[in-house]
Amino acid sequence: MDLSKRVSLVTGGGRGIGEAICRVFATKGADIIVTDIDPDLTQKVANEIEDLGRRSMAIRMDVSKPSDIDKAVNEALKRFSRIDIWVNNAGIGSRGMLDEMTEEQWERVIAVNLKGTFLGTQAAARVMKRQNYGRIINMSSRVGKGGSYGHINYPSSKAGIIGLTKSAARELGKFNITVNAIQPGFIETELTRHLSDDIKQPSQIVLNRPGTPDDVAYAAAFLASDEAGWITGISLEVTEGTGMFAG
Amino acid sequence: MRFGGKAAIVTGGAKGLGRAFARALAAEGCAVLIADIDEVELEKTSDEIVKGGGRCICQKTDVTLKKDVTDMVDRAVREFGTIDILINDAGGSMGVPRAPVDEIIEEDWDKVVALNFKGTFLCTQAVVPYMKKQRRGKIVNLSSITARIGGELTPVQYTSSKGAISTFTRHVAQELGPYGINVNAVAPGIILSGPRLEKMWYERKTEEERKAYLERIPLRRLGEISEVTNAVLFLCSEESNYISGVTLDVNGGLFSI
Repeated sequence: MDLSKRVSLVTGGGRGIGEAICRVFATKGADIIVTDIDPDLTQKVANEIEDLGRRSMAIRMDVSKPSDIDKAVNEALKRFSRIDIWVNNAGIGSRGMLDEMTEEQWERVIAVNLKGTFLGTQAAARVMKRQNYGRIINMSSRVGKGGSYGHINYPSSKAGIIGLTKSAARELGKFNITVNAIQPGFIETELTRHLSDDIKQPSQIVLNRPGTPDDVAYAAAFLASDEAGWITGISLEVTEGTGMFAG
Repeated sequence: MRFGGKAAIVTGGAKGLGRAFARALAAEGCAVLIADIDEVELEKTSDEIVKGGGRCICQKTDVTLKKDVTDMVDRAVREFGTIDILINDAGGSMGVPRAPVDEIIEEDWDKVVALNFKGTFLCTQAVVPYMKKQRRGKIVNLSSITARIGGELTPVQYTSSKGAISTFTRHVAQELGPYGINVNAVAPGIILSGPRLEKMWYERKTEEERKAYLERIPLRRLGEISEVTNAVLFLCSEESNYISGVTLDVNGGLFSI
């Protein structure tokens, strides 16, 4: 899986799955624009990428704000002249039962996860159409198809990402741009580590091990590579076969 | 090399996609047993891989016969000491005409389903004891876009058996996960992987029909054999260790679920 000479922008790249994507892509030869809402984390990851011998830059970006995205794209293009791969990874969760979930909880999760993916895809498409080349990878979730208990905003946003991905794939295919989604199952990160065991391990599921951020990053690397040139519009499950994960 | 020290069985390995999978695995260091009913092509492909510096043996095998499948697996274990990878590629519609469902001859149903579905079952069943023992293994089955959308050119028994392969994949993946065995499928769209498919594409479709078909594919082209091969090899590699039970669509975006 070779990504050399490719320039990749990763949202939510400061930690967890996003950090793994930045690092794995860099080990496969890509230069990385690390974006995250947390400027310290982006800089730390960008430094790690440079230690791996690749070029990198850190940009603070809130994916729910078009002006942040425009600014990031301009800075990235000034430095690298192109963006070959765009990974819409930034996402948040905010738990609550249906009848107790506040409108703010709903709107914030939809704004970051779904609108952020829309804005990122739109920005990527504008750059990539000019290049007649691009790979867009969106982070959905297994719960986007399977649903989730006590978390209605999150799976709703992740289901939206699947429809968005397929629609963008249809529009952008003729410009040699592929758009795919990944549906991770339960992945152990700083954000999920604190969850209680009954959320992590619903009784009907036997996981042999939780997934790692690297497991997701490898799938992203495949979809980002030239090897996946005839794959578009899919949502690839990275769930260890459980397929019905209900977290 | 990604597959250095590994051993694989590729059924349907003499021609078309199967040959491409075998060649690509061998080129990345994998010892390969190719199995097929076509002895002449089998020898040719095997010689070619060996001449190219790869490790390859071949075994005439009808995947619908349990005895043949047992012999195939025994031979691989004898020669390589292990089986890390099984690619169930043997399949096809066997020249059976695409008939309306109410006119299908039972024999035509049985033989196509046997080749595609029973063959996948028998080969999987035969390698699993070895994979369980070593607590690792990669099985990749060949589904098809026709399993997703029905076949415009293929008979229903082919289409249905490919759909069954996707369900089989999901079920067996869950069963074998605890043993460290990954089971996945790849569902290619139209790939001109052999003379029969080329004939179907060029002779059974007019130029306008071909153009209209390509217009329906978001990427506006048919796929290359190498593009299916890349997906299959990814699913055979260590980088997909957390992926199991999926049917990976490789079809230019024509259809996905």
